[in-house]
Amino acid sequence: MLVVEDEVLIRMSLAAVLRDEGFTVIEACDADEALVALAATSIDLLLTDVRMNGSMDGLDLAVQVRSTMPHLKIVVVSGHLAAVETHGVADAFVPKPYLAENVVARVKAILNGTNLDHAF
Amino acid sequence: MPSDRLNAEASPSPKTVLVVDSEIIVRMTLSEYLRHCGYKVIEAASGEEALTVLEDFDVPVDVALTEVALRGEVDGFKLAAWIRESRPQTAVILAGTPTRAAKAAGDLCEHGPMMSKPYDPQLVVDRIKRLLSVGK
Repeated sequence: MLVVEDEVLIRMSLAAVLRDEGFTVIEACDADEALVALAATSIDLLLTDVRMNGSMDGLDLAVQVRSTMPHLKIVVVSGHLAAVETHGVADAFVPKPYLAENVVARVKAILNGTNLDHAF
Repeated sequence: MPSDRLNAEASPSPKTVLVVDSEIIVRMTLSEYLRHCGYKVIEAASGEEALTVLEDFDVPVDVALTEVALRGEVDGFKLAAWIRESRPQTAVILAGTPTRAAKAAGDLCEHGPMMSKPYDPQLVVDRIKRLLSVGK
């Protein structure tokens, strides 16, 4: 999976928790890096923050990925958006602040096809 | 590679390598290789990100492997100098194709010269192991 987060300590901690759960995690610091990674390697799930520096924010990234890679699962994380703003774009929305363990549970549910709720 | 993995896992706790590179493909490829060899890897996309990690002294970093040419205001040389001053126990490997004098790099990191890019992953692991074996 691809974790896109511009706050390095948050990204580092979340990626470590996901790797401990057995996931292969690619880390990107912004949407521009994410697009490079998406073009270069096979990714099952995109987990992206919204507010980031760079040419686009995480929601724009999600919209672009949704249109070009419809098979890819998308989780949007934000402390500023409401869940309804991600409907039709993301498979799940996680409000910040979050517990990493809850993110892991949501990611597992999405990849297993058991995620029924759009947001917590 | 199997022997590298065994050596890295034989220590009580895996050593931590901070990989600093503004090119995501380079960073993720090298990081994944180092994890496969048993190291814990922290990734930073810029010198600023690396400093954010390093300024948290609760985060152990045994080796910092940094590209010289990084985006932002903090290049690999500045980062290496900061580490030498503030985290002297962290070994530094500088890498890249610098235009600056090689002596500047040799002054800043142990066992110069710098590593050239593109990385040979095995050479990177060999350099890390040498640095860690001298207790630096």
